[in-house]
Amino acid sequence: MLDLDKLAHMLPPRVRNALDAQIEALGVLTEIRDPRVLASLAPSGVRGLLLHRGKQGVPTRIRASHYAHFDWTYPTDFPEMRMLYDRAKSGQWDSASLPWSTDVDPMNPEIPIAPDYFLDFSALEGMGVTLDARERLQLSHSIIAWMLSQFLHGEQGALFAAAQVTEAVQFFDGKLYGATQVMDEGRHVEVFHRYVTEKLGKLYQINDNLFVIIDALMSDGRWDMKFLGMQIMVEGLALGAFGTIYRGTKEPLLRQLLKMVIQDEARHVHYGVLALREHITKSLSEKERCEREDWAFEVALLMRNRFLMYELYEEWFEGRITRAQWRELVLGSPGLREFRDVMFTRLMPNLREIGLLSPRIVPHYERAELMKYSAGAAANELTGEQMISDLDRVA
Amino acid sequence: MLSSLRALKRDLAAIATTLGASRPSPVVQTTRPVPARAHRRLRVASIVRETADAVTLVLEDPAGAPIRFSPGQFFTLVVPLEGEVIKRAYSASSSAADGQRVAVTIKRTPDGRVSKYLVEKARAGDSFEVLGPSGSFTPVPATHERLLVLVGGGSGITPLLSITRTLLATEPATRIALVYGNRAREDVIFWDALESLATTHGPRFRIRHVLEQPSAGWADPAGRLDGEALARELDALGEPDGPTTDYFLCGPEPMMRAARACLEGRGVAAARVHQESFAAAHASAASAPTSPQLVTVLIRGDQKQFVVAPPRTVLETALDAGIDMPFSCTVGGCGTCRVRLVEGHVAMEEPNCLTADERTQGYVLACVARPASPCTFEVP
Repeated sequence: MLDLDKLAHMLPPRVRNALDAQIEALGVLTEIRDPRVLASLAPSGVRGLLLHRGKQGVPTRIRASHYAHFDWTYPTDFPEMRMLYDRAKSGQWDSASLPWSTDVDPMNPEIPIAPDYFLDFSALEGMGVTLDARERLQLSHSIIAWMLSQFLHGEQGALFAAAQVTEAVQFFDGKLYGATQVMDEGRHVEVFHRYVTEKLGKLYQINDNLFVIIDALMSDGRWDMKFLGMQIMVEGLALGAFGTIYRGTKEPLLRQLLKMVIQDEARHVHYGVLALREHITKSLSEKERCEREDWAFEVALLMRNRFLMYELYEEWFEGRITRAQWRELVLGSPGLREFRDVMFTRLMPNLREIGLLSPRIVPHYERAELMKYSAGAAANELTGEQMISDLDRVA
Repeated sequence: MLSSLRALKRDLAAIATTLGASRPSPVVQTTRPVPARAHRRLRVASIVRETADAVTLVLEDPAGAPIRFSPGQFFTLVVPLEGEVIKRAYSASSSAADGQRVAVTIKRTPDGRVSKYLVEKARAGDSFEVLGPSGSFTPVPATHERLLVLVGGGSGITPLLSITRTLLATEPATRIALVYGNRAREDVIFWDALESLATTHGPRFRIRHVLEQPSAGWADPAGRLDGEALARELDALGEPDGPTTDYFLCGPEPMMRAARACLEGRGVAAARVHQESFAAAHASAASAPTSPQLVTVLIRGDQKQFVVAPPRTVLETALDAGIDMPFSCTVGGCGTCRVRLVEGHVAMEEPNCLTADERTQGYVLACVARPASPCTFEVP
């Protein structure tokens, strides 16, 4: 019988890794059960995972196909969104007010920028790679630079998606609120870019899986899919990632930066819940609702399983361990587990709130061990201050 | 059509590089991290409670790097407090000869949020961003015989003690006489340290305390350290003024004004009188500009332009724009960032260290200046 593993080991490491990457990419697509979801995600999957469009250099062009929804009567049509708009206006903050004069030294072990549990160094030693103290600090620097680079790329996606959503949303109060979110996202791009370039000195390529999600929601013409992708999934992912770093960092500038950003993000998710709850529960057919439900499930899995920092693998460990070993290492790290916990604690209650956690999908989430996160408070029941307070309590 | 072909070419190239051996680096950009304006983080190694209102923080570099300064200089502590980042300048009180640590002494003032916080809440192990050293209130090192007369009031003793400690340890030919005014005995910040120095160094260091409200049994003269009292104390020291005598004044402004007048009356040349002002600049909300302004900086034959948005200062914005402007304390206390205002209007935090002459000549301090109109500055 043909032993594929044995066969793969006979290949040169570079070819073996390329093969592993392609097989993994195909795996993502073949795991999708709903053909409509596959049709919606597959083009983005091909562009991101096989063609690496996000890594082809400047510019990356994504075709938009949505309609801009105008209303010349300027209705007051969604009081809760109007309240959120008022809160967003008064919650604006100046990026210059952050303590940028803070001296950030990624090589200072006394003030670690990232918690040191994103990689299990003893497991790494078990794979035959031993790093000395300085190399560990350098790797930790690379890890935090990679993460913040992905935050930055995600914020660029959020900036453009927020602009699209503002055009496409059908509630006029939502358009006013959306304008504040565009401003928020612009500010986030500014602060993350400044931190990455001025304080860390290292900017990474966009991760292929993040590119797939951004590509999918930017190119989908349906406004509610943009909302679902951006306001619920990507913002939920951001809240999880920001929360994990906020809890673990000892670097005061980054902590203050994340504190301000998290409070903005909380409003963004709240907006998504308001818009989608109304739309999904009242305007969509059951067939359309099921498609959204399946789409959210597939993207949740993509987010759970696929942010595996391969860019770091290529920089640090290619040729020393295999891609499969790296996957095992990252998936088993306590940091990634915490990241998932925080992310799904925020995400699952929101899916429940907007009507995308019906009995038909629950068994799938149970199999993926994600239902345990569904009982918490949704974004419309939480303020940014409460989220920060929760994170501070467990820090 | 052309763009589609270009995209196809890029897609094919991406597939080829994925399978080939020339994949681009996952890192797209490396930049040199911007030095944080000469900030460094220092750790509080220990705390000495000097009086009910004053503490000394002994600071060290966590990595063991040396801390160099000249006696009489000050450091700017960057203190995050109640959601704000506040900068305050505090003079070193320790000997500059130490090299590894620096002690700064802080006295709680009635309206001082930072001094109150540091006196009441600072603990060993805390760490702060620190700028400096800054300031030119420091004697020129000398090997010849000379006399330094130090005149201090209240917490103004801090830089004078650093000068005393350093010079007694490093300049055997320097003698020091200190006249120190306080309200009462319990307000004297370094009583024991001063007595110990006087005992150790004998005739090289003499001290005269002047107390406004002495307790019963106080043998020395009582009263405020004004011009008359200073003249009396200088007479009592029995040290005739000479060309190798320098005077260093540090304390409340009325005391320093009286001391300058007294010394001038005794024929002391102004060049031999040095003083340090302790009034830290503070923002004046009433005069703070509220709109962004275009600023032009003429520096080393070059012209740079940027926009300063409230509440930022000219210096902060210029540094962020990568313009290499001179600066040190950032709180209006050292004059290093002095620039000439060629055109426009600024609001400056007051008080600061600019002299009346400098103001007349159009100088402003970039670190506490906010443009109220489009401005042009010239860096000397």
